[in-house]
Amino acid sequence: MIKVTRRDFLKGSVAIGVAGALSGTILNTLRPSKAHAEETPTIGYTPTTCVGCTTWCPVEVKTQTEAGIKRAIDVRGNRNSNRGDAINGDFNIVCPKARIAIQEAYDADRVKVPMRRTNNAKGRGVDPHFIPVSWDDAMAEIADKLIAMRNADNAHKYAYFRGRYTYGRTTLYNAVKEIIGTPNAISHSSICAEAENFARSLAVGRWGYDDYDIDNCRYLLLWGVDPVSSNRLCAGTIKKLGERMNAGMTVVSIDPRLHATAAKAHKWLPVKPGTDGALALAIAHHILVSDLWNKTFAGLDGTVFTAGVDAVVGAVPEKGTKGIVAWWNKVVKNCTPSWAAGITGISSAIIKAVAEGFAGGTDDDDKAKAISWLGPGVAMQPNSMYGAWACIMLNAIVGSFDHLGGEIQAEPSNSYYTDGVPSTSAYDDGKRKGSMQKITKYVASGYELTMPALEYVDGKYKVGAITPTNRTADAIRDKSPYETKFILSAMSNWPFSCTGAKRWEDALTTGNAYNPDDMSAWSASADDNAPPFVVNATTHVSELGMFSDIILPAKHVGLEVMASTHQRSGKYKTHSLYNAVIDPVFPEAKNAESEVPWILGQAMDTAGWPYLINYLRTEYPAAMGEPTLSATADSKDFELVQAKYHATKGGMWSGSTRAQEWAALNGAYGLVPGSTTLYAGNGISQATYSSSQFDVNGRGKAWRYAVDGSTKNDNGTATGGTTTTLTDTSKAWTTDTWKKAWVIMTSGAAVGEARYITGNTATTLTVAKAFSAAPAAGDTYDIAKDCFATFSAKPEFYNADAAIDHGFDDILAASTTPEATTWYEILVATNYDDTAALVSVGDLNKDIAIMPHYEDPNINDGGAPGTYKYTLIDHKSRLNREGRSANAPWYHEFKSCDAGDAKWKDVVKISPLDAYYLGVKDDDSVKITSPANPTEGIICKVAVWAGVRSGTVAKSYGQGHWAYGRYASKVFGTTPNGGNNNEILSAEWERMSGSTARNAVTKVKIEKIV
Amino acid sequence: MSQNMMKIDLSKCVGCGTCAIACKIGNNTPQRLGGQTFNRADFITETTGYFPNTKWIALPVLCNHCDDPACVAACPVAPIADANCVGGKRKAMYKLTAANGGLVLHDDARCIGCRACQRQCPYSTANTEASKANYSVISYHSVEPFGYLTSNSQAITDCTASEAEVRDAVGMTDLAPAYRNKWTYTDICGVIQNDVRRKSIVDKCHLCVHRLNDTTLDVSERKPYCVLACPAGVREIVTSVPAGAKVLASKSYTNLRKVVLIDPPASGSSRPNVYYVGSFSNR
Repeated sequence: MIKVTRRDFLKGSVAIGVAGALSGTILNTLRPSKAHAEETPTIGYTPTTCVGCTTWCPVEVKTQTEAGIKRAIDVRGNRNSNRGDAINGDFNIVCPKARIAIQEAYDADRVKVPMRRTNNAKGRGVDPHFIPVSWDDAMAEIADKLIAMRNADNAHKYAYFRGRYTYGRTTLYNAVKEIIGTPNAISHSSICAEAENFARSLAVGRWGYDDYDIDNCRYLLLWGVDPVSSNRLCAGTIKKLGERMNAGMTVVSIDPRLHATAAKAHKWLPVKPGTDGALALAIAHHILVSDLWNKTFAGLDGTVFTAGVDAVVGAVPEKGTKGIVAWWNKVVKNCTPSWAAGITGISSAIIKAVAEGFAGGTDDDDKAKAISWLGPGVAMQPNSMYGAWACIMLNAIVGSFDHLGGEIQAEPSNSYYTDGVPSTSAYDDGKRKGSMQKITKYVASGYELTMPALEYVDGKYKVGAITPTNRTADAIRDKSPYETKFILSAMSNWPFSCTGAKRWEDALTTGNAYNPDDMSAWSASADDNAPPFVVNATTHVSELGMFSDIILPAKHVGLEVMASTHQRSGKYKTHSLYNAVIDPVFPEAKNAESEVPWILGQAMDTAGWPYLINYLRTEYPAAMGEPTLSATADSKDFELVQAKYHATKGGMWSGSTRAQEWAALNGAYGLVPGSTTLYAGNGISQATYSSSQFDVNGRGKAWRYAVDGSTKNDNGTATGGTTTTLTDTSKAWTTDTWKKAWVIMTSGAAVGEARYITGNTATTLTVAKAFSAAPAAGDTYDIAKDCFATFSAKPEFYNADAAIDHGFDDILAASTTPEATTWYEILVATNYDDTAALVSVGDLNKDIAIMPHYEDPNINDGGAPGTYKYTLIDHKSRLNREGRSANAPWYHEFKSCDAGDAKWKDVVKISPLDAYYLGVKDDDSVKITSPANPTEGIICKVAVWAGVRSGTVAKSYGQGHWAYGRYASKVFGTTPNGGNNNEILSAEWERMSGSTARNAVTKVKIEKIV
Repeated sequence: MSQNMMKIDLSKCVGCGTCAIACKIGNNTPQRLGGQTFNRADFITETTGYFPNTKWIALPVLCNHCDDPACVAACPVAPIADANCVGGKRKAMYKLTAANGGLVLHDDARCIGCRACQRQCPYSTANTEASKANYSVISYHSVEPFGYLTSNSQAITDCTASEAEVRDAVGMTDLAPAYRNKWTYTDICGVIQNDVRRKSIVDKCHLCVHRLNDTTLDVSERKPYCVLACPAGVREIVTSVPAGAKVLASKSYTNLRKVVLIDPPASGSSRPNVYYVGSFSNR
């Protein structure tokens, strides 16, 4: 058969492009070529995607080609992507992380060939005695082990670890997992930022990251985020921050650490760690008592809020929000600025000034041009749910959710990619064990109670839907609920990147208390007490690599692979392609997410198990309308078809096929033929901010529906229904035309209740979550596609009318070991102690559990506050690149771009006062220990710095590797260069979302090393 | 053409360091060694004040391409008559006339490595580590630049790569990084501006003269790498002094350890041509 590689395809594109160019069309693959006399004539630009963070910026890589070898020499924004603002010719916007990709790709410590461990002993400092092996030998051993495990009925003892991914992620995470037959596909997402999504879901029903309209913002209030350094809008915010401040935008940064944005801000509020919620409540309090809320949005004109007493409700009802008065009466009335000042360390006068500024404006639409930006610093705390919810709800008080200059709710319903995989059911040999309990659900007892790990999906909270990644170490170590025998990892390094990192080393080390035997005992069948057999597809020998048995050389994501990712940022939704810009620096490297599963399938086929290869070679091409691949085809052939599959979906625009979509993705810059909204340019981009979405006042569709229902898509009068259906026999709807829309009862027993529609017939809607009462004949209803996705279709402070439980009742239903019967038990088990105490007073106080309020931080001092005195503020370096850049010399040379940090050092930032008492000065070496790591601790340098308050110390995450490479570690394999925060941070979670808690979690002890 | 100046708008700067990284890659400068940074574009940071009124600022720096460059005055290399240069003479360090753009350039071929320029430059120091300076405009190659890229050291023998193997993998036979931006440029004086330098010479910013004068580039791209790369539009080439602009005080004030911005001196200094406007901090 004829193999069509990506390179061949591009050649074809170029040929077409020449013809196109002659007729006035410029293809994106040709457009950048601008050779000039002073440079090598073979200079060029190739579009791809930056994987430095999850903004996933569309970029172009500048290349030079000599003697047939193409080298990457620079990175800039993709001028053919609207996310790069190509429409305005303003494309050259990437943050400092983008260019570091080049030093990653040309890193001298990259894995160049498959490697096999020959020393069965495992542990930090133990030389694995790696030797080079062939791909064939490596994969044959892997295949043999997996097949033997499956034959021993142990398929479930295989686990897949997914690190930072592309959207080719699902082949290993879903398809291979299903075909091998294990429940244990474990992603890193919950160590990243799921708690942020969780808080947002409570507020506006959105499970996803926010986009903000900085272009039109009047007042920017930042909570635990430095947006010029991280948090998904990085490059665009770098560009806009100064411009907008010069144009009059006010910026206030709330963060215990002085960071770059805080340094530029008009005000820096160095809140005590974990007290953000109190500050947000006090701001809300002052806005309400000052009569400054947005009445056009929230209504309640004439209502009087007076400190300490219940609200006196005026003539105008609440409009676009849900539950302000109840929230005030129950929580906010006592949250005065002076109350918050005592908790947060921020003066009452400053709190009032910020409240008045945030809720200022010349009219209500100007008032709404204010953003309360929730960052991970606030959300990723052990008991942050209510405080983070309070922070984000300030947007509702000023009406900035879904409003010009505020938080952008609108997201085109179109998704431009396929995140799922073709069905694997025809490739089942009957030995799958995928229905077993996932190991991350391990706990001694009562998993659902202590780690609900809720996710808000399709209008319903689902218990256990989030994978609490960091729990995996305990499950492996304790062999519970069962032994983990085999791990395949793609670009994860959880022994470094997870808090309580030492637990991972315990779990993977030979001869520890849990695994007393050595690797020779590994058995596919018996419970052998050996550590898991670890296979690691990676560019570098990371800390996980040092515990691995086989390491497979991975291609660099961004420069060497074909794939795609999808993100919403800068008011554009973009699906951007990754291209193999350069040939792999080391030819044996493979795409971890596509070529590795393909080669695994081939190896298992060779060993007599054809199910995986038959699936891969048949189903992906079939979905693309292409011929089945040969079982012996090159892995690059599968890489291409997999990239096509995940980059397309069929029906992206009316009548489009996957093949047409793939051609468009790679085609000319500009509107996609057949679409009025989709732009091509190494992917697809679409504005999220259009005149059809927002009216002349800047009010979005969700905003308007919440206020007056004016943007509904349909309405009617029910003729009957059940608690999960609504029937209107006067309708003749097309089947499933309202799927994913919301039905909102506008009269009847369930009035005000909004429910997600899972499907419809000609006359009946089915909803995801039951109404409190079945719709009766005569009850009226609306249907809205673009409304807030809460159970009231409004941002919610409190919603008792619809008996909203935010998953609490589901937790109770799922909690059987031990059985829990009350919300109080849930709150105790999930560290919400203060709320639990209130709820225990009586059922009336149960309302507290479903509204934003303040909860004292749970910062672990090990019960020894005199020993562990300093709260550790963990923060990210703006050069981190998802934890992969620590071996790049530029990372170290320019580390001083992190406020308070220094070049070629890893420092803990200590206030001058604390430094005095500790007897330390700049450049002194210190040992930092914590209750989680009271003996070894970590070692780093001191930076005496006034950017933190006394009693807190700040340290950037990213350094402290004892492997990874010559710059990342001091002595490769044994001695870290600096200290890894995760070795002293307690392994704790925001348990309702299953997210790792990194902030306001640990106190530390600091000792000078003399 | 007139004197090239750089305007740096601190109100737009967020201190991200993109300018410095872009220069590092575009001009193929090596890693720091022996107190030499080789950062033609750099940024310095400073923290002042007391909590909670703490201020942290970042200040982009580069060669000031001074009107009266002390480095040129100090250069002992025999001058060659050249009407393109100020005073009609060209040393190893030389300044083009304003009509030719006014850049202070360096002739690698004629440099004798005496480092007099480095000592005399008001914004340079012989060793940033010894003097605890934040930066130095001029650096000195005491060893072969990129000599460390000849290393065959492997973290794991035969399994992970080495510096030499990476270069081999991309066919980089010269002593330069795999990501070398390969370019050649001969300036108006006939001096070759090298993309990679040799040892025993000094190294400084030439304002990417090879890009400024490249008529094959779009006008929008005829800019130094640091200007092109800045995502916030902080750096800009201008030809007149911006209103209200300040210049960075020299080492005689600060030992290159502090950020002190002063009014442009009319005389008595080298009269730098990098101008700062706006304020990094808004408080």
